[in-house]
Amino acid sequence: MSSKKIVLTSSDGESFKVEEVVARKLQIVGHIIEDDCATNKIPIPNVTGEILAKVIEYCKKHVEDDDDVVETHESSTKGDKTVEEAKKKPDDVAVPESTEGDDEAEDKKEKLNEWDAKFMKDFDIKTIFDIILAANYLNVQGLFDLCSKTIADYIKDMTPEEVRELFNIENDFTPEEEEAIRNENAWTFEQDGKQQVPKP
Amino acid sequence: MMKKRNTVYLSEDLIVEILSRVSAVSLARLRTTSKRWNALVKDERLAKKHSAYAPRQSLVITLIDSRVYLMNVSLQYGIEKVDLSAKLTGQFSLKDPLSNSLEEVDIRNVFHCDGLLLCSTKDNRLVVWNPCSGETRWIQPRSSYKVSDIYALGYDNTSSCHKILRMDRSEDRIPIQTEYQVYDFTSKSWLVDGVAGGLFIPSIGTRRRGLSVKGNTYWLALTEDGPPFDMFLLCFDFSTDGFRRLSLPTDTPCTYYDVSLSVTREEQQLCMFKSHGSELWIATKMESTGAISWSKSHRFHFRIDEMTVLADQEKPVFVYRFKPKSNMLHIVGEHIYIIQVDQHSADSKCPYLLTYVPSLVQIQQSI
Repeated sequence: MSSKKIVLTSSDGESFKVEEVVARKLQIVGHIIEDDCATNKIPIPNVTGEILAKVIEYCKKHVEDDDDVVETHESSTKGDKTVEEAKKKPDDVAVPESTEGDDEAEDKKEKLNEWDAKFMKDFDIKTIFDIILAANYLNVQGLFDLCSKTIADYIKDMTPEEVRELFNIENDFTPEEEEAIRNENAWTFEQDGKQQVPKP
Repeated sequence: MMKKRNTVYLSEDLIVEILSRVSAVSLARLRTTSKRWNALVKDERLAKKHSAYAPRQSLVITLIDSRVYLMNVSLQYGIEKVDLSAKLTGQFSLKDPLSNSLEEVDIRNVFHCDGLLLCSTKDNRLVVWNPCSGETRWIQPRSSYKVSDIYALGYDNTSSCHKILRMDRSEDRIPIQTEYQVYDFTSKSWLVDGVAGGLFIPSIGTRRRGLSVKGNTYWLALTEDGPPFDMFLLCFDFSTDGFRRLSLPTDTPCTYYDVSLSVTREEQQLCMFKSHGSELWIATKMESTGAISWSKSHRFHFRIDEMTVLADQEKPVFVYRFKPKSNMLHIVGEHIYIIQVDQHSADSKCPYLLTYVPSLVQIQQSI
């Protein structure tokens, strides 16, 4: 492993010295390194030090993941590739070289998942929103997926009123329009045993 | 996790990534969040990602008094007994676009595939419907729909779109044959016009409603070549737009009314129940060539007016008689399947249970 260090600088001037292999996990940074158009100092203008520290912590833990190696140059194709990859995953039948290797890899993956869950548990929802924006900007796919899943789990039992507050969304329905859709999807409240929240 | 007032704005692309990991039922509830979110639930971008990322649910619906209801089937395990409760929890609302006051549509029959419902109405109309997104598509016939029509909704893997099968027996020709048409959503027309001979689906209550497994539809059918009328598994393949005959497990002879088809809830496998001998078979492999393999899953007994629990089995199976002296049986397994067994009766009032897997599947692929 190369012992080369990369210094990442956040928008508020905080510096982080990391191994190059960790820095490459931020794929935007990886591209800059490969283009060889940078010194050892790389500015990250859109991310604060607090958030960049969390992204780096995740990248250090996941430095051996294979998932993030996929290179994408256009954001439009990124979505399509992600869907295709996700669809392939259930069908991927890896040829086992040894039972021992299988158990070892599985155990390692399980521990990583536990670490991920603990990692996300420490944050409030605003911080998770900041992290997902940073992961999207820096193209850290694993952290992006993890944040998406965490926010999805957070909102899955919410009412529309609660989601509006969380996402800063204005209710632009007229009362009649809202009533029509509520009548249509009333079963979704009853199915989960959820009572309808009276309108504000 | 602390709940905090949020001042971060996420772009629509990021919201699509998050919503693609939320279950379809939750997304249906959140349609009233804003007009933008309501439109997203019907958006192709979200539908595609959602089918890849979202957790899959398996619910139960039923048709009672011309309305589709969601049914909550739950099992409570006690020390020496298991309680089975089945209660209606909500109604799927389908408004009539031809009615000025938007009255509910009277539904005669309902068929499920991939989260879409294909409904024939009491006044002989046909509609495809996604209860989660609220999207509907009323299907115009080439010739008027009839009460005796059999319909199925399936998926064409080659052109990646859903199709509708309509078939009926022509009584004015000799020999009697089954005529069928296939509706293509892209061209909005009935394209295939075919005739199939030598097959017969008895018009006994629920038998005309086929079962959808992995995009194709299956019925129990009889040969029409003369006595004895052999029973076989009839498959309509929506990728080739043709029928296939598949074999049934044949270790024990049985009559048509002793056998029922069903589908497992989670893994979407076709299964068959023989009430004589109380055997359950699961189709473990279905090739595109037509070869099929069956695996015997359980063998159990049931008594009248009682629930039988086989707790020692790897996957518990419960037999529940809907009503005392009813001719209908439901077999409900936790995370397994729901089977309805017809026993020598065509006019039972027992509601028919149907597995429903909510989705954001769109009715027509945009070009």
